[in-house]
Amino acid sequence: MSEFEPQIVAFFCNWCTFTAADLAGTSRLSYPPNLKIIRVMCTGMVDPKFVIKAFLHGADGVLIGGCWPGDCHYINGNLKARRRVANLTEVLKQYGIGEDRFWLRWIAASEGTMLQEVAKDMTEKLKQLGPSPLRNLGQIAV
Amino acid sequence: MAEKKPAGTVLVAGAGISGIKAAIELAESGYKVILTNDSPQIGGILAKLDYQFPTDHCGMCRMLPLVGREYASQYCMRKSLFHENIEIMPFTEITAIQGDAGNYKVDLLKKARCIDPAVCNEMGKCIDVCPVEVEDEFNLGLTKRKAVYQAVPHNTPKMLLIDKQACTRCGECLKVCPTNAINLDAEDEPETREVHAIILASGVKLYNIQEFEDAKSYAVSPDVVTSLAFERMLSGTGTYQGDVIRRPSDGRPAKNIAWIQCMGSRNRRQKREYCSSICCMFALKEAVLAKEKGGPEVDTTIFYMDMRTFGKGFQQYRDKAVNEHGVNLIRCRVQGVMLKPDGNLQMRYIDPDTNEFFLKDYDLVVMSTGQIPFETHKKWADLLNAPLDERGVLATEKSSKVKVADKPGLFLCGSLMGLTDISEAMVSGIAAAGEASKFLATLGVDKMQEEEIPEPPAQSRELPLVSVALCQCGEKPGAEGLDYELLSAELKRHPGVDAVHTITSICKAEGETELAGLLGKTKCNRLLIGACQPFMYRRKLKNEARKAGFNSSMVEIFDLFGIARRGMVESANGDWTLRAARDVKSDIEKLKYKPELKVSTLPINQSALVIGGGIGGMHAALSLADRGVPVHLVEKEAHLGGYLGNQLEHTVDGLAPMAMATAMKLRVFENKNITVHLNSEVEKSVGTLGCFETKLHSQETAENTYLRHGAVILATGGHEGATSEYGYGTSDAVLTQGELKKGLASGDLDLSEVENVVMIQCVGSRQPGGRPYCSRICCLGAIDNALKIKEKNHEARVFILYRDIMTYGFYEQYYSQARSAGIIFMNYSLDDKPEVEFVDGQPVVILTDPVLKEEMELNADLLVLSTGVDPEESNKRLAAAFGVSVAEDGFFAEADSKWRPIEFQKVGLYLAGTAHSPMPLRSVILQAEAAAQKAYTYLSGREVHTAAVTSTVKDALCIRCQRCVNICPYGARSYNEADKRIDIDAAECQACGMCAAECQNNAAEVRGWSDKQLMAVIDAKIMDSTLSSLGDGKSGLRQNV
Repeated sequence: MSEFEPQIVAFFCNWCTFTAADLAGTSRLSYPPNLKIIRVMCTGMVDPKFVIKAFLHGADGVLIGGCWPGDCHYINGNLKARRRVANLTEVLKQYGIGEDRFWLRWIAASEGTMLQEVAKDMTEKLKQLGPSPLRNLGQIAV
Repeated sequence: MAEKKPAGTVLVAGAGISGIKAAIELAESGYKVILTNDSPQIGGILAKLDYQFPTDHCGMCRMLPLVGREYASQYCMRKSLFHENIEIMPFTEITAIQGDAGNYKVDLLKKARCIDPAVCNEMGKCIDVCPVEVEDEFNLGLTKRKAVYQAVPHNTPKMLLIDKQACTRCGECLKVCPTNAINLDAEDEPETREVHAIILASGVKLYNIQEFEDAKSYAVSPDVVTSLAFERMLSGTGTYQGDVIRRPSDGRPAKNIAWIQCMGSRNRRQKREYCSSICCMFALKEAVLAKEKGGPEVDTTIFYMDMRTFGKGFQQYRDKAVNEHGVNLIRCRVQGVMLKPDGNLQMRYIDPDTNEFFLKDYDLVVMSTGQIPFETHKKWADLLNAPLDERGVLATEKSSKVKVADKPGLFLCGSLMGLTDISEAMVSGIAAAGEASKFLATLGVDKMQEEEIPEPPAQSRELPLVSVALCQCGEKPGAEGLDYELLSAELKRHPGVDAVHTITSICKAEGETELAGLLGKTKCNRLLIGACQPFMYRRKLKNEARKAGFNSSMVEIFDLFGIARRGMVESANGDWTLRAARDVKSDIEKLKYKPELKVSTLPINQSALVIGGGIGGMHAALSLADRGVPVHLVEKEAHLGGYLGNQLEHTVDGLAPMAMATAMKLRVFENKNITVHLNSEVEKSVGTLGCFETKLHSQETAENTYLRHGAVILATGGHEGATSEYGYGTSDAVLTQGELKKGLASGDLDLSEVENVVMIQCVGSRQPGGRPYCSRICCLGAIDNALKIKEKNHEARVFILYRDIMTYGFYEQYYSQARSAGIIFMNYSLDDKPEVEFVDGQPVVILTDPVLKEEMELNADLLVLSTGVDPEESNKRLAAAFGVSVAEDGFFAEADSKWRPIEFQKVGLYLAGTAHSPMPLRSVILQAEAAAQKAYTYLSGREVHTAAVTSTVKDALCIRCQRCVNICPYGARSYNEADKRIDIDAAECQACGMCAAECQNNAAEVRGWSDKQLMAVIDAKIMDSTLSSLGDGKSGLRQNV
């Protein structure tokens, strides 16, 4: 039986983290294929419903990656994202999705290695945790 | 048009940040730009810097244009630059310049890269096999590179090249290259171009410790590095790939790091009598970053002479570095570094507080190596056959920093002006572009003619039917092994996909015809194109599609090879065609639900409002009026000129502000395009870029005037600060520097009996409770006054009590001059400020002697206080009227302190001069010119196109809670009381999508990023992979259940 491969939906901001992922790609830094990257313009545009949707439809983890505080291309979108993520984390806990499954990380455009590390860390962590408790729900819903 | 005039072309020589900024500005105003650079990459020194204070991160992308951003096809500036109107020629040298203004013939030499970037597939196999290793200059020799290399690790496209000097011609790379892109015998190619104007931006060199005798003695070990090398050690793409900082010699983590300031600058003996201006902030930032990377146990010490924190926000950053991050600052010139047998670096220094000697070991020593300005001036002078002045510099016109004297059509910017930091480089780039465009306007050359292709109607209401075109790229099998058949089959199965085509090479002419043929007969209504580097072809391909009857918003281009490459890196077992298919499917989903995007046009009222009739304001008004833009110039006083123009006879660097203002006033009143409103203040303003309506109130007539205009420049200036410290106001012997200057100029002040003059600097400045900032000009003013006193009465003794002498850049020469003239400089610290007592009405200054550490008294005949510069009180009212913000210190808050120094977050408003921060006159004029250019970019046309991707609101779903109005960082949303709906200002909106996330009812939405699209994308990302790895998913499930 093959090992459990978690699915991570990653919302990356266009200016910093997505660029970092691109950099990791072009510098041939390998990161686990478990990351399903979705480009958004800013972490501030990540609606909580996207995260909930991802969990409901079988994601084992959600990673939001944006610019460091003070570095947002849109002034303060990342700070708004941080506030939203904090709220949403509390809500998700009620449904069995712990903090371990929902990450917010700041990764700047030049930090390709950091992206690699975060991707590896999260995949490892989720492998230990096993599939998301909501995964069944998603499968049944489909 | 009867005859087609040639498009105005400007050569920008040097692709550092100032050159890039100048190129972008010109390209945005519709001119053709040729941007050359000597080195193989663009970005200059800043390409090596990952972090800039005050955010301590990169913000380079903020220099990109905002309105109409789709056309710029831009994203990360560190990767590369793409603009329709800019032709970038890296690795190209200028060998000759002939002709004259408006008709330059430039000989270029394109150096051989030996690898054809058009053919290279960037897989880098050649790098793997190359046996030659040399020092990597990008990492300043800290790492090695091959003879085949990529100049900048984060560049896209990679633009590999071969270092001809290092290459041994072993031919290994030829054997492995799958595309035959390598030609070891490639020759340099000469080329001649005709241009109308030239902007020189060849930048600056940093002092190299290996190169100069005085610094060599410090470089006792590889652990003594330059500040730029340290920057590479910090960088995510640098030596340690963003890991903790280690010693280059033995790889041990560096726990004790010291910085030595003023390496190669402020050195009279070496004929470098200037301050490099940037190193203090550079070192502070590096110390803060070292702490952040290595944790609080890392000890950082900066040995300095004067901590020159003169610019906007600099002093506040220093305070934060010291108080919050615990960076040690020691005022001491360290005379040498000793290498101990254990590899540690020992330094001996005197603690200036206690006069005690210390010996301390450090793991790493960073030399703050200064800028060496004007290195390339000689070369330009030779090429242009222009004279150099006594400093060895191409002279600029007296009050302008960017116009080369007696050489119309020739401008310079960035570090060629002297010693600049990022924000001044930005401003100078804009100003040079402004001057160049003014010059082009006089030549009668045209702007770039755009091919107008009518936008076909979108069939967004029909059921989506997607056609996918995949580029096979005949010459770039970057996706070698990418199974096109499998991929096509996989994609064809996807619902909504009608056909999948492969095109040989989409960027070539044949590919275009092939695509046009496909588009002609397809019944699909949406088109997805997979190619490499989509940002380069986006506009061209969209135009192609438009011609074939596709609405351009129904066409999307994605990076097929990026996907393929990622797949290859991720897994070795070759199933990445399927994985690529999954990624493409999510792109299909996103396109399927994409609504039609419309570019709206904003009508522009082609006139400007300039607030503040000082020298800055008048300069901006004249600059616009000379280009035919009607300007309303508003001044709250009864006369023009501002503080400088009415109070200051001369400045230390030889300008005469009063005479200048008088001349400008004449020109302003004579200019028919300028309407002057004296005794008037702005009360209220509504509107946005292109259509502001402003209410002016005149104090004189108590009448209100209503003005309509398209842009606003705030040049409100400042004035000398008020004080009651040190007995000011109680005795005639206590003056401010401004009063002294006036007294000296008019001759009212009798100096013949004066024995002692004491000047106290930083009165009320750079301290908590007072002005938190450095006023930048007081040290210069004090030195100027002191020299004048010495001139009039050589016997008089002048003492300047200072904290840090801010004679940055070439102002350093006046500091030296003052010391040679016998002016006594005495340092005091903030916790031991001098005190003043009055004995028989005469002030006596009591202070601690900085050398002997003993209390001493100075009987002053004159006590002169440098009270700094205060912002205008009216700034707050104006900010409220225009909906912009004022920083804590009372000056206007610009959009970004480094990259957008003269812009506000709100489009259509600009600032110049002391409204931004205190600054010397030449910088005021530079900013005024730049602000005028910024405004002119919009005011030159009757309309501007807004971006197509902007936010919208669905009125039917909107409950008018106005949460989106509050969250919008650009103030683009407002509640329309009359219509009871949310209005969106398409010029302000930057499509960040914060409103969409905030809206509870899904009423707010960004076009092209709708919920429907993103939900579909999430589905595609998850569902598809569960299907393709069905076995895994199921087994995982079963385990869990």
